[in-house]
Amino acid sequence: MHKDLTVGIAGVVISLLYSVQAMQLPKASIGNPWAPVLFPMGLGLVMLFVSVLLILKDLRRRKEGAATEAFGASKLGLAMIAGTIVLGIVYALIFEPVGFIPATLIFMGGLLLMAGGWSGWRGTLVVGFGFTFIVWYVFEKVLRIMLP
Amino acid sequence: MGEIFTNLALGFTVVLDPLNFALLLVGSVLGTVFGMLPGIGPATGIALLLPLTFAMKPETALIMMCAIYYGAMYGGSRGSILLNVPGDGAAVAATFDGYPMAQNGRAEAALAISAIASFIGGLIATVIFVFLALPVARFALRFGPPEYFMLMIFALSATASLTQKSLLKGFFALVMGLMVTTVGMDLMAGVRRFTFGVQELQSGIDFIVVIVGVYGIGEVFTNYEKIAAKAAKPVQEKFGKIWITMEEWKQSIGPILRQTPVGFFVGVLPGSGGTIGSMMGYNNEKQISKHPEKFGTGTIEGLAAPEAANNAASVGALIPMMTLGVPGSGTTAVMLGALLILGLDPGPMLFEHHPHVAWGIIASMFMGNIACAVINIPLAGLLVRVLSVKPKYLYPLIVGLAFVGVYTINYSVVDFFLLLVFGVVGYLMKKLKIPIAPFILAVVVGGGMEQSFRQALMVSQGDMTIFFRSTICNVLFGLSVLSVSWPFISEWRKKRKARQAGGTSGR
Repeated sequence: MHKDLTVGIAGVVISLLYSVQAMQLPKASIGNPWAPVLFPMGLGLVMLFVSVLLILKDLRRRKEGAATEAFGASKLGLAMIAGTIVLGIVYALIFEPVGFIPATLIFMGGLLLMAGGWSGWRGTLVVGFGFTFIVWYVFEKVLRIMLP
Repeated sequence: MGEIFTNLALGFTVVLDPLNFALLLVGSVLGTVFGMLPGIGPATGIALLLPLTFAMKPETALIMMCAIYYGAMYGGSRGSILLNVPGDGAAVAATFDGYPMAQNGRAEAALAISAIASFIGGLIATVIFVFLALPVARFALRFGPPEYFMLMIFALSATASLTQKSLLKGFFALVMGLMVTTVGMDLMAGVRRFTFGVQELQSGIDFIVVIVGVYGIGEVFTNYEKIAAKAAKPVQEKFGKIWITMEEWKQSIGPILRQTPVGFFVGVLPGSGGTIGSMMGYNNEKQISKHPEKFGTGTIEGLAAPEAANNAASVGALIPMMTLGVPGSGTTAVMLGALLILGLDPGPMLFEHHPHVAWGIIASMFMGNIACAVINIPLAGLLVRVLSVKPKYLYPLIVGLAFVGVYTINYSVVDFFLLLVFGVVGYLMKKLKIPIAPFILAVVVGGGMEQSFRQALMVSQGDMTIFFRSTICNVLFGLSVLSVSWPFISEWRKKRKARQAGGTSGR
């Protein structure tokens, strides 16, 4: 699918969802009751307008027979993105219960293994531990920002 | 005149405070390193390093951040010259002649002239800045809510239409960014908007989370594919003396002096910044050169011109950010965000209420440029080793830094989830070729923009004509219309030129 068409369709969906939500927003009890809604409503309309134009532009280009661009993403890249998201969610869940140092060691270890595999395990260990302790030292001791 | 020098003297006493000066040096080195890393331009660098400054005094934090900014501008071209991989958009023009120079065995001269041109460009631009800042800030004191709203409309529409070729996608990004800012408690009426019942969203989505997510995590996501795709190119690590000959100096000084003002004024305009500034600098020199055919084969003028223009543009871009409180690029948007976090009110009042901060930053531009030149000439050989950091370590480190940094904003892991969401958003935007700068700009100024809009309407009791009552408003509106129609005008002119050329050759 062509990129502009994808963006346009996504935009129509976003603008409709957003505008419906905006209409249902609670009204202000002081001043103009519609004041909190006006700006979002305007945004929804502009988004809808821009998205429709994008779709029309793409359809016209298609008629003229222009080549379509593929989305193009490698499987490995997507797998690594998914991996990072999973690790990030795990990190978010364990960050406060187990504390900064163990959680970060797990998180960084996971990311480094995913990016480099087991072959460079020495580098992985050095970078993982190095990052965790340097960050901990800088934040906790130098900047006095408390980490869990 | 005397006023300017008194203020500058105040600024220098701020910068020369030992702690501030030390952090200026640290910032310059960190900026150079971050600027060099492929894909991590100044905006990402500043965003990732922002949490370091939370515990600092405002002037110290901003001096360090500005140093990171100049450092990144200097560092961005190292990769262009040695690897043909620019650190960011503004360093693209440096690949045209910088990389061929390095290929021809003149890497030392290329590294030296890029730093020298950056230094001279940055320094001259700073002098212009000093004389322009106060008048612009004083003028901006006349702005009320309707003027501010129109100014932001202009800044946003110019960014949307100038940053990339696709005007529509620019506006798409812009509106999306503004939508993000409508999440959270509406401070003027106390209404909760788009929070979907999530307690933590009441205070809104912090723009730092958005910036770090879109630039930092999004960048890593985009680059993941490259880890396996191609083996890293070897980087030249042994250098002779990094300096230039008298002959090369004579060839370069003209282009540097000519393209510095060009870069500066392009930088002041919202939306254009370093990328367009450096491209214009390169093209101008090519056009007036007696031997344009040499451009692209490794001629030193072709590197000196964009490098001077690029750094002058980066200084120029600070003018609207500091004096009007409206950023004109992704990077200055991040810096404006930093100002807001530090509790300062950017814009004309900054000069009135916090002169030591405003002039401290200005004085730091002089010192920062000197520091960066010193770092980038004698130490260049050492620093370019950063370019050979393996991606398999680099990307996990960036992700780690992003997560830790984001946590320190609100001390809440909810931001981790938002970070991932915006990482994916940034990735998709790049894949779908939606420009990122208008999105970031909108996220940073959106809140203030809606406030100006509503304040103006409150004053006029809902009458929309308030936005067209003053001359300033009308001029800004005219400029917005012009910026939006600019792509069409330039398209039309190109077509006409092509037709004329076709007409004459056909005869």
